[in-house]
Amino acid sequence: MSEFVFATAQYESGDWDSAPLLPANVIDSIARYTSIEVAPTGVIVPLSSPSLFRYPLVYLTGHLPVRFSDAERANLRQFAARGGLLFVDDHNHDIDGTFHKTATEELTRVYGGLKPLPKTHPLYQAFFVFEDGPPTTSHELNGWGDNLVHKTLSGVEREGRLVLLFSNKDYSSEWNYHPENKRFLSVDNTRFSVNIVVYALTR
Amino acid sequence: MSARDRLIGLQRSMRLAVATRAATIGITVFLAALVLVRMSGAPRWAMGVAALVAAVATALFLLRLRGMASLPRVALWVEERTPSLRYALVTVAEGVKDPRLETQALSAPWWADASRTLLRSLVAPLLALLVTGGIAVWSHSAFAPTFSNEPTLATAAASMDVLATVHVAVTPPAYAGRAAMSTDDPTSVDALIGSVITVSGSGDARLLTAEADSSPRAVAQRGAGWSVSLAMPARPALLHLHSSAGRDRLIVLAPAMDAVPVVTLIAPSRDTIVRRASGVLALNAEVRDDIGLRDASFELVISSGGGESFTFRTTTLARTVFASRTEATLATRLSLDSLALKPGDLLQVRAVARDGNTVTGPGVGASETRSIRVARPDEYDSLSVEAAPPPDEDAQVLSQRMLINLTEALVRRQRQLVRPMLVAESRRIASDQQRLRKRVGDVIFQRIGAQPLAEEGSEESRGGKLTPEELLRLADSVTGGAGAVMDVEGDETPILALNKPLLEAFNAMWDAGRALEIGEPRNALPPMRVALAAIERARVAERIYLRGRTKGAIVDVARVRLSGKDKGTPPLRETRLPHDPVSRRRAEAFERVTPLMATHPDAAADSLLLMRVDALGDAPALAAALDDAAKALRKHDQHGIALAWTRVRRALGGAPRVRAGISSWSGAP
Repeated sequence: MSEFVFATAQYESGDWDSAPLLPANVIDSIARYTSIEVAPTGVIVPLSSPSLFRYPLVYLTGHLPVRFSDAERANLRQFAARGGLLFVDDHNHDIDGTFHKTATEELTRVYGGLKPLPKTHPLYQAFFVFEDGPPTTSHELNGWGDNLVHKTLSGVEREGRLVLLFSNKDYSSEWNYHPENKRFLSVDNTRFSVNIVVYALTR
Repeated sequence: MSARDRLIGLQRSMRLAVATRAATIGITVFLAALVLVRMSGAPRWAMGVAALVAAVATALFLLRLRGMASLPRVALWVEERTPSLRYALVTVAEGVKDPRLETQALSAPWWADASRTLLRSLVAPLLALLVTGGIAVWSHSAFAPTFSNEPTLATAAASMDVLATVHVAVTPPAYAGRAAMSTDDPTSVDALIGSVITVSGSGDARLLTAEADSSPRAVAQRGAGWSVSLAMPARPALLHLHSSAGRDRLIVLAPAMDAVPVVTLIAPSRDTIVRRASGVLALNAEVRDDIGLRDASFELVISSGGGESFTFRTTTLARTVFASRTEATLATRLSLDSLALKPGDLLQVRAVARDGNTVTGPGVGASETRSIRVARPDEYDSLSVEAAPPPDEDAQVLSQRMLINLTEALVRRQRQLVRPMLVAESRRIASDQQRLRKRVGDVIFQRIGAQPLAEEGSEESRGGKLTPEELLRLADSVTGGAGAVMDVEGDETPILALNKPLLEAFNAMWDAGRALEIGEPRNALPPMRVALAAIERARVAERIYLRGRTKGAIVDVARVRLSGKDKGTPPLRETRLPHDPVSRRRAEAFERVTPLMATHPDAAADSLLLMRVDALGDAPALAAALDDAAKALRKHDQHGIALAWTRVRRALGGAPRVRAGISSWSGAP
């Protein structure tokens, strides 16, 4: 069994690398809480590249408008058909923001309509149990973005499993810190990332 | 004299003898008791007991007077010693009058024998009194230090309260101009050196001794109280008051230093080398003192000559007297022409201020020294001769706005001027325009890391106006192909974006300068205004803050899972630096004081004050904490004691202590 490699999607428009420390933090949590074999560093994979299919979970974020190229759209459709999970996080945490509007538009073209995930979704029990749904981040009410607490995540399911997970909760800001600083937190705020990884690897 | 008369006389003598004997014995008993008390060091109340015993002995002996109350009993006492009288005297004493009895009663000289008997009875008591008195006098001199100044119970009682309340008055030196202060029961007195400190209290001055730094001080009697006066010493000292009742009082004398004046030379602001020493040099300084300034002045030292022959001139300028002000400004203007400086001369300027300290001063403060040197002609080729920075008004002359104003004025006068004069004035403005263009060019080329433009005379080699492409090529040549690196999308490189307004001004100034050179000031005005607008845009241009990329993190998975191999090199904790001997001694002394806090708070306070005297010189924070601790102890303020103890421990720095055994609160050493 090969080790899990955390992949960050590189797309031609926008700022795809706005959360450079998030992969290390997620990898640290996987190593800390699970026995999953995990690579010590993440990789950057172009959305238009066939190498996208090597990774069961791909993370995509940004602040700026998103416009997928034809190759990227085609690759994403293939990725979804093969069972890959694309986790998209709005770094602006703004439902009126440019990233949200353009990314949901593009994703709808590729995946179809996004639907909110109920609190009882298996994602929230995949490893840690989150009875209230997605954990709130400290950035949602920081005065920027839409300044809303987003109660649900949304996504697209195919054959009973998620192929697209979309978040406006700005986990990209919440988890974008050096893993060595995790010791200063009374409660690790990256635990939900373990659920996403475990869900992607087991469903 | 009849026998009855002689008998009455004997009765009186006997009464006198008994009373004298009783008194002598009483005094002897008292003196003996006094000697015993002195020699044994018994408490003072033993004196009272001795006086009581003496009084009882005297009273017992006086009881014998009852036997002499009646005349017949005196006669019987005589008949007992002179049997030949055959009771004739007793019969006469009972009032019987018979010539034969009278003759019989006077037949023997019994009155003489009786007198001798009475006198003999006084010899022994008087001898005892003399011996006891002699011993008492000897013991008085031998044991005087123990009992000096307390001969009575009344004074002994008074000595108990002689240090009950200690009042301290501080009169600062006259130059300070400060009011006198007073306080009761201080642990410490902080005052300027030379302040008169008067410590006073109630009670007899003879019951008190005073020492300051182990030197005895006179204790004077002031009315019903005592008083000690001394001047605040230059170093911390301890005033030790000791009462004869065995009570001690320590007061720390903490001298406050009068700082010397702080002088800051504002102008001239830097050292300068000039070709020619002429004009006026503005001198400006600020002076400041903690108590009061007396005067300040500028000092000039002019050194001339060279080789082994130098001459010096020293002079003082603008001496100003300040009436104890704490802050002042000193300003004057110096005509360099009046100094007649020659090439090679060196002028050194500094400001000097004195404070009004008449006790340990005056304190003298001086500013930095600035030097102005006149360059020698033979060193022009090896020396960078730089002029002093022009004042602000001169710098403004070079502004583009001023050049526009000058050009507009020339245009208005254009018709009244002949052509050669117009060209001459126009070229003068062109020269200034060229200098300003060079400064703008320096800014541009310094930004891209290139050398500034060449000297004014060789500027033409640049070829006049620069296009953005030429500027980019210039930047490439400087940075070694930076253009490839900066191959970003967009219409221009960051270098051009940064310099575009200034480059526009640079080129517009070129156009303006060309028009002015050929005597066409009217044609020069439009490009001059363009240049001004471009400079304004550059001033308000958006600043760009470059942000570095975040360094990636590589997770050490094995370490996170606590499954990695132990490399055997755990991070070593830095050992704390051992205390220096002085700090260690203080820490140890404080640890010795701590147990006294509960049992003998006064002794603990005194020990802290001794430590404070030691710490005042080099550890002011510790000294302040010790003073607070001593005050809290004197007031029995438990909360204050806890806080002060913590402060002292912090000030001591937490000395690492090695204990012999396991500490009482845990198993850790």
